[in-house]
Amino acid sequence: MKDNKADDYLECCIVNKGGERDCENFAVKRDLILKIIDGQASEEELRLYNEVISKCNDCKCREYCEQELAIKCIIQTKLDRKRIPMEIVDKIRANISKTI
Amino acid sequence: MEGVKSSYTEEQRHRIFESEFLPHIDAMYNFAYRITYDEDSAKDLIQDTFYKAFKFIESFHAGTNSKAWLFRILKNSFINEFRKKNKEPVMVDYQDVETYYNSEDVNEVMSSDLRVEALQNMIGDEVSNALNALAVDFRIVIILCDLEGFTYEEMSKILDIPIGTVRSRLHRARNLLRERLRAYANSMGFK
Repeated sequence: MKDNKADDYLECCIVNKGGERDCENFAVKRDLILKIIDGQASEEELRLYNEVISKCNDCKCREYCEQELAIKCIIQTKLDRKRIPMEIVDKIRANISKTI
Repeated sequence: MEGVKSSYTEEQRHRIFESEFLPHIDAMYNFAYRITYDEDSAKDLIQDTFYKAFKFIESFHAGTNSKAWLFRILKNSFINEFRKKNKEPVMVDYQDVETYYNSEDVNEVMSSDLRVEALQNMIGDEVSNALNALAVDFRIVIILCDLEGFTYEEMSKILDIPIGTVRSRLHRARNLLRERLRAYANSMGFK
């Protein structure tokens, strides 16, 4: 992450013309949030996140982050993990032995 | 994954197979089931994948990333054989995906009517149905990333696509999944 991007993050939670809290450069923040959720962020990106976005309160990057985390969480916790039947493992071993 | 060919003795081949390949079989079966949505097809796909893995074991370097190597074979088997046989109808227009990711749509405000509590209250079947409703190429990236924990780089190698495309496909897949989950949440009365 280049240093000149830092200013983008510092514009989190601004008050827009309608009087609502908002983010500047949401696409940049979304990109960072996704990297963090996917475990792909660099140390510098994590530092930026901790400095700015993690402290924002009710603007859309916070909401986006929470939704993405919740979706990832339900995928990881609510989907059954299938286990291969042992007979298939035996079949595979038998087939392998035949090829030798 | 790529590299100079190794030459293994029969004993080494068996050891690699048992200690580096077989430990991933449940994750692979789970992946195969999620992309075929059919237990028998998943079993066939796994057997085919392991047969190929053993056949081409010389191109695998012991101690390297066997899980990604195996998933790549599995994915290729699925695309080259299973999907042809079953005439999978849903294909993704990747140009459309790229265009979407590079367009102003990415700055859109995500809908605020999908509450985290609604997601947390969903049961496994609803999540599973929402995932299965996605085109298989979108399903694949979500499973590889969120269930199997592959990095962007590993997914890029498994899927034979650039990292940027991995990210854009993942982004699009998540947006589509969010839409499906929102539909379920609304049908359950969450507002």
